[in-house]
Amino acid sequence: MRQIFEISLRNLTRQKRRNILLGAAIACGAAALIMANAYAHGISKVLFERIVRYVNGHVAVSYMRNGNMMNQVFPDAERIEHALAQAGPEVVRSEEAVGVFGRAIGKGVADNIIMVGVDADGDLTDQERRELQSNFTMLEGSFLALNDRSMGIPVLLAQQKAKYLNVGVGDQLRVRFYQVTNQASSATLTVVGIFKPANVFMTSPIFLTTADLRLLAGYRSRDIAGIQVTLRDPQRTAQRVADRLHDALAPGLAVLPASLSLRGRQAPATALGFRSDSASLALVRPRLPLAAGDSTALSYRGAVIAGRLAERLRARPGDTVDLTWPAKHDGATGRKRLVVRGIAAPGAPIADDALLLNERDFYDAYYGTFPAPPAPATARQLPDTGNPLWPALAPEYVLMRRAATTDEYTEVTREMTRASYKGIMVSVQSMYETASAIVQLERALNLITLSAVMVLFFIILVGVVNTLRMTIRERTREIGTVRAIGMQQGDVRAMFILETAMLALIASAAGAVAALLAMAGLSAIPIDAGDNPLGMLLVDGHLYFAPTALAIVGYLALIVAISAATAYFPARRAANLTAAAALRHYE
Amino acid sequence: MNIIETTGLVKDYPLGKTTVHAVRGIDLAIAKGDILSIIGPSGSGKTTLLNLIGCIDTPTAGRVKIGDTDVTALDDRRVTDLRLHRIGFIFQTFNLIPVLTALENVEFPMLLMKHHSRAEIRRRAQQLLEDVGLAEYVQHRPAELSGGQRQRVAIARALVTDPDIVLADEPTANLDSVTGASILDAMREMNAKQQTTFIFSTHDANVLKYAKNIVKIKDGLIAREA
Ligand SMILES: Nc1ncnc2c1ncn2[C@@H]1O[C@H](COP(=O)(O)OP(=O)(O)OP(=O)(O)O)[C@@H](O)[C@H]1O
Ligand SMILES: [Mg+2]
Repeated sequence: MRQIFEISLRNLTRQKRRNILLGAAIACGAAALIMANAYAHGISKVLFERIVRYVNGHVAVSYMRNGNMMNQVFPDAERIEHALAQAGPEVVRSEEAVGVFGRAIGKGVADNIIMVGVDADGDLTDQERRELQSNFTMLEGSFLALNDRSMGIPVLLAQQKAKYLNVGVGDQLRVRFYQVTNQASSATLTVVGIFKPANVFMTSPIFLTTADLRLLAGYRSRDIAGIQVTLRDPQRTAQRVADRLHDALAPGLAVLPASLSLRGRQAPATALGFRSDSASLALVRPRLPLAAGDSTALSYRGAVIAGRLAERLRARPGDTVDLTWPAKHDGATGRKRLVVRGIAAPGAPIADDALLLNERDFYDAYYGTFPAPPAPATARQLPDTGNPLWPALAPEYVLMRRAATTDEYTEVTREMTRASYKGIMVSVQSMYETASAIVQLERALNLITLSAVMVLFFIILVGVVNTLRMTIRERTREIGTVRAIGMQQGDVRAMFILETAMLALIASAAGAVAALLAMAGLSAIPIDAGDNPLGMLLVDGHLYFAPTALAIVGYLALIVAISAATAYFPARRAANLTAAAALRHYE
Repeated sequence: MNIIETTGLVKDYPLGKTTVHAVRGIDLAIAKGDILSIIGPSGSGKTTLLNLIGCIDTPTAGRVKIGDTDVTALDDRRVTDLRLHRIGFIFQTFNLIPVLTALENVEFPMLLMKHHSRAEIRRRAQQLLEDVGLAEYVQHRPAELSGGQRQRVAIARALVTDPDIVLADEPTANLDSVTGASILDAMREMNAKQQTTFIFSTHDANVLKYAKNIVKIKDGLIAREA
């Protein structure tokens, strides 16, 4: 073997010109491949680890109520946090994404804005804090001044925004916006810093701390905003985590354990909601016989109460009753005044203390003051899937079906909006739906890399095959000699394959070194992309390459393997000649 | 005892639409320790016959036996092994491996055998090169040697494995008469010492006096065996 190796190595130096040319071609190919890959990988890192992560999250949980997407609020943080805890080990971090649209008034100019919350002092690791700060290259003021409330509510602006609004550090900025409760509101912010945006997505928002923004936007302490989840290895895990999170968020029945009072009499009651679309009403009406009240009782706002409950309160249709219940949090009490529209007949499939509310009233009460969970005794009596009314009963919230693409997501949203649920619609999306444009861009880049591989493959194929054919033709008599002397066919083959593989290895290693140098050189050149959106592919105004040792080694191995495989066939043909035929060869 | 036996040996070469009958049925028995010369006019089939005997070509019909082994029945791997261990070749055009030095060329077949130590191989190759008078040229590449020197390297290479049979196709055709004679002397000596069987083809009458036996072929058939 050592002997074959030595002969191959010496043969390599024999046709210097030819081998140098072929080697140069392979080296260029290897360099192009490594650079294309490093660039695509760099971009995908920028896209997924900087842009998608901060703009959409790798996986996001969002809410919608009454078709209003701006209403990013869910009244029970615990419920969402519980589901997040089950999302899996791939989750690096999950945080609330608070964004509020509004209008800012600077010095003499106003502009539409979106206020975005950043977690400047939260439980960030050093690494996360560094990454976050790297997105904010401060031109004036400081990022950490966001945590300093001594001058009012601090805010950071992008350079362009500050210029347009004509404000600088220390200036005040008046903002008008709607709270999550749809209340018009306004506030005065103090500009504490101006930064150079790392990408186009950072030019228009203005940044407050998440805590400040929650207060401004009217979030109560147990409300939770939409969630952005950051993942390890998002390209591989985003869909999986989204599915898992979706499963963990499967809603149960919405139950409001309360007490009902009428003219000084009081009785415990369990309020449930029912859907009021015509299909649901058609389902409920025949299954819920009424002892009093008329058939329109269910269509109107108000309540239908169980016969027993009506007896205890001596309630009749038309009576106004008061519903009170303890809140889950803060020791508060929820209240709702209702009109009794109907009384269920004996034998109706509801508990003795039940109170059925039209979903509009029900959710106002339920989300308005989120109730404590039912006592175990009550919980046991709740209707289950076997109850004939089940399909029409109001769930905790409506969980949107997972969609695979942006288009499908739009379709699902449209469908759900048409169904006009009154409950909160919760959706779980991975970046494959929310950031499909970016995911597609990334795929396109990978495709380009792949094409480079193919082109390279053919260069090597043609180059190696031709060179080998020439070489073998020239050396046919030599092959005949060594075969006559007693070298086995396999060894003759190995000799040529080894020769080619060594050339490929040396050349592609040289190509790798050249690529690393070229990348170092190219990424040192500052590029001004201006307003070109492709500027987002730059990092701090420089091309960004992310070569990985694994990819480089992999490509070298691939090139050597392709060359060796290409060499195999001509080498085999040469080795298969009889020694006599090879010796006779003449040219 | 015969070291080589051929029976009904035929070799046809297809040539366009026709067929060249290069060897047309040769029965030959060669005893161990012979020095056999194959003579005949150009195109009579000498090279073809030597190739068949040397197991580097396959006959169209007939058989070749080396010792007790019927070579025609063996697969390529075994035939190659047999060539390596039992047969040495000296080619008319020397056919050294150009990237190897004289010494490495001689070592080459022994390395292929894989059952000698490197030191042993080196010692033996060195010795053989000394025997053919090339002690000072061991590190020269073939391109840096004269024709006669190359042929002597080729002889050393053919003998290094201690073969039973050495085949030489016009070994002296490219050499001057003095060099040619010295090479034939070396062969004769080797034959006397080790009972190595030599078979060579030649045109050259001077060469014939070294032969113990002569086979004359014509048009692919044996014309006269002396
Ligand atoms: N590959 C081949 N294809 C076709 N014909 C061939 C081939 N090799 C040899 N021949 C023919 O076979 C016959 C015998 O050739 P061979 O080389 O054995 O002759 P030779 O006796 O060695 O001649 P010389 O003394 O000139 O070397 C010749 O007529 C030659 O033309
Ligand atoms: Mg001949």
